[in-house]
Amino acid sequence: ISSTLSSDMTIMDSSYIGVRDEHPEIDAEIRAILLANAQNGITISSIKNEYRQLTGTAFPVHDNITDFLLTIPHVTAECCESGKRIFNIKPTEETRHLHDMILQQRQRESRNNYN
Amino acid sequence: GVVGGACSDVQQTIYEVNKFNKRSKLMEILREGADGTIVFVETKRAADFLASFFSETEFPTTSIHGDRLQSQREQALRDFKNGTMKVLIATSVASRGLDIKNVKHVINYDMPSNIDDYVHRIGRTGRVGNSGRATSFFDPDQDRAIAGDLIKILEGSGQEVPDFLKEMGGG
Repeated sequence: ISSTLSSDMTIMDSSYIGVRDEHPEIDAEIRAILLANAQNGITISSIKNEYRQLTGTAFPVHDNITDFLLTIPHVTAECCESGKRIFNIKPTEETRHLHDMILQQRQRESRNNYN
Repeated sequence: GVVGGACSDVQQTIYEVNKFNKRSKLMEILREGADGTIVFVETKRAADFLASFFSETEFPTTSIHGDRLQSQREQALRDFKNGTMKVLIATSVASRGLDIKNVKHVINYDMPSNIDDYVHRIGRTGRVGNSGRATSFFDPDQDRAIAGDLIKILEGSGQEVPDFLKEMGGG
């Protein structure tokens, strides 16, 4: 059973190899999107939307997006009481200074506001 | 320099860059020397996105924007000034009123919408007899309106006007 499981995992992970070949910076890009939204977390549809706005390309994964996001180191997911799935990020040594500021900054009232 | 004009001891470079090529262009420029660079962007999200991305992939970068508390802005500025953070990404509103002078390099990742902001931003570099550097990304889809004024500023401070800009500002 365990060998079946691990081979399933291998197949699943390898299905993202093509995505990472074509978008070598995608892990860092998604972590950056999550970090910018670390105060409240962010849903899949908003991640896709911000990815398009910030990189100019459509989000390259279409199925099993949660599985894909959870192959990215430091990414977290939680299910809210409302049933919404919210993604967030754990800071690394390199991004802790930004993470601290973002968590403690003024609460954002609305999305996509400027300055 | 002339009051209301841009100082001629600032070397001003304008690149034609479309929205989605800006990040790789910025990366290319910063790799030649990132220390003491302030990068102006339009939105808060872009400021944090770029700061995170660069911190992870290239060099310690911090950010300042309108959601930050005053104490956080001052801390970010201190980190930038003492060199802990090589690059500061800022929205222009947030950087007003902050004491940011003697910056080595100012980069307008997003062009300001008016020429006074341009002059003000590049005035943060090249102070006290030191020559400074200002690099701007001009997106033809976004920045046409400022082309004419930009040409005047460049000519007035003895800078070369790139051909793409001349063609745009002609009318």
